Amino acid sequence: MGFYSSLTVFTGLTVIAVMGVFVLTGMAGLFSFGQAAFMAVGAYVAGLLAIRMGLGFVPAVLAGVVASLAAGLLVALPVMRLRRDYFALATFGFGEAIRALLNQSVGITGGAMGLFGIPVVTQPWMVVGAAVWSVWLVRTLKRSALGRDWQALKTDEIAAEAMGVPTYRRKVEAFLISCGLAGFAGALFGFYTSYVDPAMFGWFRSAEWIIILFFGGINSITGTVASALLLSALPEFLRFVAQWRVPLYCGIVIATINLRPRGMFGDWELSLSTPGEVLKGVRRRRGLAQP
Amino acid sequence: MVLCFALAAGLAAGCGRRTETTERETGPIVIGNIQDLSAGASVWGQGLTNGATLAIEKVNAEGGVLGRELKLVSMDMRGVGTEAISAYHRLVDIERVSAIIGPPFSDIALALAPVTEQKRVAVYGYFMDERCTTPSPGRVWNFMFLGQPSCGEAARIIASYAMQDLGLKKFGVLFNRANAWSVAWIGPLVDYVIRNGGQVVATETCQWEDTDYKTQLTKILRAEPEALVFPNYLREIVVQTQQARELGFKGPIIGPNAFFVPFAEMAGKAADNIYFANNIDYGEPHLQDFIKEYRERFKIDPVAHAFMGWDAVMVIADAINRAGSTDPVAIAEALATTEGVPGLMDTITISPHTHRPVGMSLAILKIENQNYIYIGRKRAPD
Amino acid sequence: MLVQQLINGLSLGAVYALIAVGFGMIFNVLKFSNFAHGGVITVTAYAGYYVAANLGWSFLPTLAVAILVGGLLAMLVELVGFRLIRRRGGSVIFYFVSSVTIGMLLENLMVIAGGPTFYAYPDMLAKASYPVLGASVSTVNLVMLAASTLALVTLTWVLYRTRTGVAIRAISADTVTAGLMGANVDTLIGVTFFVSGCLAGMTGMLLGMTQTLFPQLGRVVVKGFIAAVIGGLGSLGGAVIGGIFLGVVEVMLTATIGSGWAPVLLFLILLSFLAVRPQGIAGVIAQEKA
Repeated sequence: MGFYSSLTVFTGLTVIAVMGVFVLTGMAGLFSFGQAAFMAVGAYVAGLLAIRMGLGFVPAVLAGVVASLAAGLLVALPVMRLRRDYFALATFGFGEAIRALLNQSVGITGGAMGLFGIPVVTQPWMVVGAAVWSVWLVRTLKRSALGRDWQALKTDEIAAEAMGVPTYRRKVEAFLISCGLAGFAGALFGFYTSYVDPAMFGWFRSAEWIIILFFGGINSITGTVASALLLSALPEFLRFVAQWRVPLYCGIVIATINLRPRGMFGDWELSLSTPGEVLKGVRRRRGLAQP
Repeated sequence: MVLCFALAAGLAAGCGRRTETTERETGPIVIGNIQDLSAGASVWGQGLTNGATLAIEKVNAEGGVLGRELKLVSMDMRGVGTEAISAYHRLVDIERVSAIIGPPFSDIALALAPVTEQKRVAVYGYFMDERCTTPSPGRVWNFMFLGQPSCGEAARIIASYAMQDLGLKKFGVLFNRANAWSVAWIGPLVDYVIRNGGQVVATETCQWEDTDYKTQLTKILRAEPEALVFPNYLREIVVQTQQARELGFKGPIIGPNAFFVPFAEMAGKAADNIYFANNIDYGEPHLQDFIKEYRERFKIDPVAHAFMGWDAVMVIADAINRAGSTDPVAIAEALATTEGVPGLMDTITISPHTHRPVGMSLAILKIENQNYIYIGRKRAPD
Repeated sequence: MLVQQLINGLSLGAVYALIAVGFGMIFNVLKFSNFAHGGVITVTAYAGYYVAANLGWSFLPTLAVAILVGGLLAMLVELVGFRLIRRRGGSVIFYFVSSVTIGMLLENLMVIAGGPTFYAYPDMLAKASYPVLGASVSTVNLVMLAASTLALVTLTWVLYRTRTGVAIRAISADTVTAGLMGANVDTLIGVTFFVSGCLAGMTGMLLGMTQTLFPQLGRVVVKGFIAAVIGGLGSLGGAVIGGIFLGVVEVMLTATIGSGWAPVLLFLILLSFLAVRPQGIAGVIAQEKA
């Protein structure tokens, strides 16, 4: 469990959660301030089941994901029909409520002192695998009919509705996928650190994920992944500037949003055919140069 | 994209392996320091780091340890557990530290404890929750050490003073339920009060986000306590004290070392009739050199944590000397048998069974008209 | 006890109301929730402290400085954080992220500027509290209540009785058309930010006086946001009612079920409120631009 492997794990978990935010915000245009709370739900449910009931790693992680899906449904059903601001507000309230709940239920969760003694199972390669899988999942979704519906309702909800897109249903689906991914990341997180406490899942973390998304480009999975890798590793290497770290980070984001609003990567996606296209381009250029 | 990620991961794994084999045999001996340097409790983190810096300079001026200089490498964990874990890994793998000074936060220490078992580099810190050093009775975290009286001891010291010396019997408590330290502090205090025939007439909680405590205070005051107990952080207790006075409470307020400087100045007129247990008092003769040097160097009064930083370096330097090497495991073993190291806060002897100091005293201070008055030192009753 | 708790609730509500009004101003014009407001609150609290503690100024001049700093800073925020987005016609999401980031930036700049110490304002008011019906009310809270009422009355007057006000309402309805009709959109939006910043300055200094000074002071802006939603986003009168309502409900919950459970119940109340009456108490749904 070296420095680089722990960095790999934390970065990988960020990638998983940010993929969820990509679906929700990047594709469906919705905002959640409470994603970290769904991560908390995943981590606590999986951890508690493992400690109290001796559940194995795989079923515990699955249960964590299911629990965060259920929590997501609870938030989504009443407010998803409303303005997007209200949805953001409801998710924020949910985040605070979850933290209060975790702090209050001392007998079950350990309260502010946190839950400890979760078996250490998660290995860096598992997280890398899970991150790759989640990227693949979101990429598949983006190319599916579902993905096109999301993008349609993000651009113009009324027009999308008129074209026959069940917007309410689609929005709930996008939210659930993002909750599931956050819960998944949370469960893996608990099994890595073996200790979780409510303070780890504040709204600051949710905001950070949104920043990562915007830095990379809200329409580009490639950009989002690259920015997740960069921005979650960057602070580690910026430790020498100590207190200027966060201001620097904010400055970068503000500059990006103002000067390069589509993010560092715009709509560009890396695909398996990209190297081929680049080669073709080179050949074409050479061909033009020759008479 | 997949490729990109795999590459990054591979790179990371590769680097990890390379650093494992590097030597620690030449150059300065590196001591790590994990503190909150930028977030909510940075006052304490900065103070601790400043104190440690002065101590390191002193040790180096006197010839260093094992003939080598000491070097302090500080990491900011912004009050977040995962950041502290990353910082720990980084200190161990990259900076190749011999031992680490830990933060005064129990929740952070609880997150670090399992990691230290794997990496085997000791953390000597100020996390007062007993579970940070002994996860369960009879078990001890091999690489976690506490350098001040635990929450239980500190709470018993001030509670026994309040009951025996001040003759108080009825207490009203307001504590931050989301703060692990508050929670760990209040439990033993309530236990002690009840075991000794006192009464806790009202217990209310608050949260980090709370900015107004009048609601809770109004409720507590209705139960007519003789004294109030605020085991919370500086910002909270300033407002809590002011609002309690505003609501007309004139009785004594008792609490933890958060009431030390700069509390009295911040709370203004409300800072009166307050008793608390602190690690040191500015008036104690053996501290004068340190306080003078600290004020000159940092242009500010030392917080209680500055003295902790100094002591941590002294105890670690002593352990390195006795271990006779910079091997972290040998140093951890030496830390467990620390005996009679003269520190600023008291003479430090660590119990090998609990990894906590034995019989360390605290200074009881009173705040009267915004002035700190030294009453005397006290050890924890059994 | 009940009277005291009601007064506690009103005091807390006054704070929320003041924030919600500043918040609502920006929402009216640009249709987004400006979280940078919290950052401005923090900075002004520090600015006020500097003047009061280091230069020894008394209450009113200090307040004037805090208000001025807040207004100018808010204009700067608009220039740096929102102007380019607006010129481009970027979506609400960009404003939102930009404002959250600027809030974070200002907070962290204060961490650096303030250094590792906490600060508290010197005692500036002759009397800290007044007895009312056997309960005690703090002077700062009275000032806050007065300030938010005054601010609201002034704002309403400006918005409905002056040329600038009419122009601001015009751009709030349709920026492009108002611009074509000869309104100087950049200036007017600048003015709106200035006014909202002045309110932030007032909030910041009064909060600093009641709660000591720390960089996270501005995070209370979230409560202002909730109050604004409850009141009806975009309605200034609604913001005040929403703020007072939220303050009283929060205090009553804390008094009955305790501060630990209050956020949970508050969340449930919020959910049901949104489900039943999403347009807010004031009942005006702010127009959403296509």
